[in-house]
Amino acid sequence: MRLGSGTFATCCVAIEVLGIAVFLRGFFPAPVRSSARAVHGAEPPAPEPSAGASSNWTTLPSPLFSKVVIVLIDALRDDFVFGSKGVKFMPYTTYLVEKGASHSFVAEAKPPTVTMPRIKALMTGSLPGFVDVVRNLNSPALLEDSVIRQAKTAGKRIIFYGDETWVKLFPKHFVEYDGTTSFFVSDYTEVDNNVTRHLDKVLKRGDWDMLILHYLGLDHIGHISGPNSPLIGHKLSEMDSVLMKIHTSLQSKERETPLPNLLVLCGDHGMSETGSHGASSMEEVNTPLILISSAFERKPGDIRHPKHVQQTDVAATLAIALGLPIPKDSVGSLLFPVVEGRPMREQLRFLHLNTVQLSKLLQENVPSYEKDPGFEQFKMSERLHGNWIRLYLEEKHSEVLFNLGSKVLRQYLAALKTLSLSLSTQVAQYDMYSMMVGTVVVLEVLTLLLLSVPQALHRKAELEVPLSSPGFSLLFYLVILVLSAVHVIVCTSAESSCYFCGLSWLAAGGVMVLASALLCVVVSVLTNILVGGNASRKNPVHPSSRWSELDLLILLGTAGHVLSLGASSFVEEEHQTWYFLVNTLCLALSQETYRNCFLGDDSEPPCGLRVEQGLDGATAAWQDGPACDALERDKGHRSPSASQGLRGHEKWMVLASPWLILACCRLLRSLNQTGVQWAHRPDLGHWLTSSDHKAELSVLAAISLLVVFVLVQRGCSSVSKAALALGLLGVYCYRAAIGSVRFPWRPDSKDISKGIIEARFVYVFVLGILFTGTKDLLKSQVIATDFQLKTVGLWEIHSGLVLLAALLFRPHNLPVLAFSLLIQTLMTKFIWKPLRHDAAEITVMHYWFGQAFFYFQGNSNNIATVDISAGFVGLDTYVEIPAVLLTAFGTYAGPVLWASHLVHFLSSETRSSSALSHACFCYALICSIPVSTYIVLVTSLRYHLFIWSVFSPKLLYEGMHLLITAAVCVFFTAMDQTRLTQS
Amino acid sequence: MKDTDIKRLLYTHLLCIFSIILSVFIPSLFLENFSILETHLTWLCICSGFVTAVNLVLYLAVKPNTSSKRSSLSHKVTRFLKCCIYFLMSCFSFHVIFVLYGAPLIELALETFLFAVILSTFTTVPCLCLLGPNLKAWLRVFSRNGVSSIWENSLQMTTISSFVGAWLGALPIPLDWERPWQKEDIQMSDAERKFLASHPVDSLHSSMERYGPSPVRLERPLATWLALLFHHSGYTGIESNLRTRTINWSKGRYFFVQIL
Repeated sequence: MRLGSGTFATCCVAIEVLGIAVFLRGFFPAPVRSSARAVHGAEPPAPEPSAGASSNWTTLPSPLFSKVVIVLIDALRDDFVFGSKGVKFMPYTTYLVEKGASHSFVAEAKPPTVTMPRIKALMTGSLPGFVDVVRNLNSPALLEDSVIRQAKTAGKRIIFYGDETWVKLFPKHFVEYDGTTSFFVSDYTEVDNNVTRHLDKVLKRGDWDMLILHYLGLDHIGHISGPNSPLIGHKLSEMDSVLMKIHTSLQSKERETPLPNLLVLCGDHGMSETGSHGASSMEEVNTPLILISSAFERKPGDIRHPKHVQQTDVAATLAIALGLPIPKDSVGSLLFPVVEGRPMREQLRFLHLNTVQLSKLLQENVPSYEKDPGFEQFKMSERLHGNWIRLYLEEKHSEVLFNLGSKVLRQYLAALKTLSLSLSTQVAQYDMYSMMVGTVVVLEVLTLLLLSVPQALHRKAELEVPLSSPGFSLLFYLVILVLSAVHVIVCTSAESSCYFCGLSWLAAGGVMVLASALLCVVVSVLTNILVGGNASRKNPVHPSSRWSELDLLILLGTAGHVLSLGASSFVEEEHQTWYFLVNTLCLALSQETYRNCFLGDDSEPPCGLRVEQGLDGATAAWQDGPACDALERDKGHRSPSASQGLRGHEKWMVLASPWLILACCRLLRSLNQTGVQWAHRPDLGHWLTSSDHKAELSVLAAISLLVVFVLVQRGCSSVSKAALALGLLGVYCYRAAIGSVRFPWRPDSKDISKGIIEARFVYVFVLGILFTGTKDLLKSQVIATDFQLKTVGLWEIHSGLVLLAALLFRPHNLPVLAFSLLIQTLMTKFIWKPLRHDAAEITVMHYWFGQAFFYFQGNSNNIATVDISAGFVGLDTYVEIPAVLLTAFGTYAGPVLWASHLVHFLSSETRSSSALSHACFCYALICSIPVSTYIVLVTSLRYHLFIWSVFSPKLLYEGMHLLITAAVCVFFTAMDQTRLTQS
Repeated sequence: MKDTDIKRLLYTHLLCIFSIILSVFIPSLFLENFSILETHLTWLCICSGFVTAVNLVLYLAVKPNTSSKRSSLSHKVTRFLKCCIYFLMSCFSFHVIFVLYGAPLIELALETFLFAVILSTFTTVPCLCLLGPNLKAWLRVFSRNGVSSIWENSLQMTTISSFVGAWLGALPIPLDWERPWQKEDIQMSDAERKFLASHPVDSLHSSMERYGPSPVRLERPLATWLALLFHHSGYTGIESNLRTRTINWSKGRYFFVQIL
């Protein structure tokens, strides 16, 4: 089967996307969930176990506390309470911890240590998987079972003040709430005053059962000035006084109610030494958890080293404390000290309820649950418990009963621990089989791509895919047989759940057929090459083209980047790699321009920077550069007198443009500090977005939009020129409407809207320009000779994308767009055209610049830098599909714009008919090398310390990038197809 | 003729390397608190001074380019001044390139400039000594097939390898080896704690046996001995350090090739 190299590459990338999808599904384990979510609360609680005589206690135990107050302080690190800071700034809390009736723990939060997943963990007791973070970027309502939901069903009245995330997570659950936004990080007093101002009234009223307070101020201070700032001390004292107020009020209320009250002080996550959070360092993970109630006995314990527990334990404990069923997805275990003061029968009952819930979860998530040690322990303790109940019902209050009871208790606690542990590992277990299948497919495709490089980059740009070679069918069937056998063996002996085994036989069979077909193709291509290699060795015709420095740099740079993906720091700071490579590329280009312009021709009077004395005749022997040939050829068209000046001017531009590009890159680099290590450094972007510099931002945005217009309008038809101008005007109006820039004639407009009309106005023009471009392309296909029309059509598509990007970019990022267009123009005019690079080199340069611009935009390999606001431009509410598409385009605007420029540039150059297919092939190859290497690296590093915080987000980015690449390749092939039909 | 040239070349390079080593040890006799890591800026100054001096003395003494004709004193003076201007210009242009490469514009300006100085000492000074302030000749030497003698060949190789070394020297910058958790004792316990947090205790050992040591531990020996070095010497130090090593390596290779 003969295929064009473009089509071939597109097919390869498509298959690769499939492989990556299977890999990702295996790599990101599905979170542990209870399947019985439809019947919330309908299930009766597990009765007390009994052997022989039936127990009469089948209802839920009654609540232990009448009122619960949860004080959640954002970013409260454990040493803020238990360390020296706590002693200094939180005297009352320290007193309660040391001498009061309280239990203190260090609750470990699991990464990602971001507020929303942590709230979920606290309230549902489940471990939000990594995928949850991505899935819930817009924080919709929590559907899972939680303490709040159970309390609501039980008719408890819940009041909430604090972070708005709660209100979004639990809509209609609170009888009264006041949400404060965490939008303005620079505000750290108002957010907390907004919470505290309700306190007096609410504490006096007492018509509630649960009060939740979420204080954000500490987190904001951390973000602004880090954990060592003096502001922290003030904030901690403020929190201490709040705690004192609540505690004294609760104590005074206690006389009226029969049951004691419970006060819970906790943090959702810690704070790293730089003041941020999200990763998994010790400071970010450890949070204090203090339970205060008069029901607890005062005991002087070793408070300097509180016991380490899991954050997920809070949900189960709260449920027990309020007499509610434990949330179904909870993997936590009851904090035993809380119920220690209760009678033995109740204690055992609580523990039994918790173990039953955990073992149910285990049954639903692990197929071979019976072999689990935790489950065995549970069964045994249940039996012992039954025996104990029988004894208890027969004879009451004896020493034997107590001893036996404490034995059962220990047994239960051990079972709880094991169950909880094995459930939490379930989340961290990789599905190796799916991962291997995905990796095999991807690697086969990569090998195929690499093997077909010489053929695909040949002048004809066609290659033979040996699908029907003689040895093919036998090998194919053999491999299919082997793979099916492996599949059956693996799936029948699988211990944990496996996605690939869960697929239907048809889908799994399809993937296996694909994998074996690929293997056979690879093998036959390899034999062809070996045979052909022998043939070529007999007649030694070696194309002795020496590699230029640029080729060397491109190869080494690609290899270096791929290797650097194995180190977590390099992944975190990948932008540095790209900036470095792009800078070096510019220097290499500048060296090439010098060589071509100074050493290439000796007749020219010297006009360079470095050659003042001119070149003598000795230089004539040196290599002739094609650039000056090209210049010479250009000169041929013009009159000799005019050409001399223009040529000098052009030469100057050729020489200066790499330096101009370098300067542009340096400016862009200081616009957005990204990555991890230097992300906190001040940058231009922050300076511009602060409210004091609105005027500067407006001017900059206006200038950038003007530059964008000037640079883009050159290639457009007059209709789209007008549309573009109006569209860019609309972009500015949109930004003015949402209040990020302002008009000179309306300096202080207070009315801030969502800018829906303005944004939709721009969308109309974007669609119009894209439509015109497509129409031109189709027309050019019908009228085969109209080559000009096709170029215009492609440029219009490019400009439509530019307009869309201008709309989606935040205003301080508009210079990125302007500079990107400027660099494209400079490169096209003064470097690629005069220096006559071949399609492969140009493709790689486009790819590198695209990657660099991805980071210039302020992106990084961290999920947090994705600008989700792009998904809401012009939309009233969150609509999933457009929001996802817009966010993806906004994030990958850099690579996409460079790719569309590449298509336009290559099809406007008429020199080689196969340039587009070469470019498509190169683009596919250069994108799939990092992806395939990365999945192998990630597989081998899956027990690395930073797998969740560094490598997994990067894996998602790589997967997304491959998807984008596939789209770009399809576009390439479509363009190539139109060219083929023309010729 | 060629043999004697090679021998001279060998001695010059050996002396050069020796001067770099001396610049590490000699200042500690005169200066208090001198060490490469703590006072790396002083060391950089001293090192570039030493290398310049040795280059000057050697090339004046050995005089590889015998073609230089006798000339008047004023000519010599202008030549010398020209050399100085060229050197300064190269320092400034290197500085500009470093800033374009991302070095901070204002803070650490001294470090950046000293790095520019030391890079010019290793590249521009030998060129100036050997070829004089004659850009024509420079261009000839650094173009393909333009080398006419062993001396120029060595010049070309050392200069290019200096640039490559400086380029490679930027590689450790993104590494966060100076972070507290990467340091020896804390890191160990932290790594283990992480393991315990995400895996059950017994599976820790089995997974260690199955998959070998975790990459965190593989990084550690490398990290610990380089962390101190890189942390204290700053990025200027890193680059010059690696560059020196690269030069020495390339010199060694050069002789190996030549002698064979």
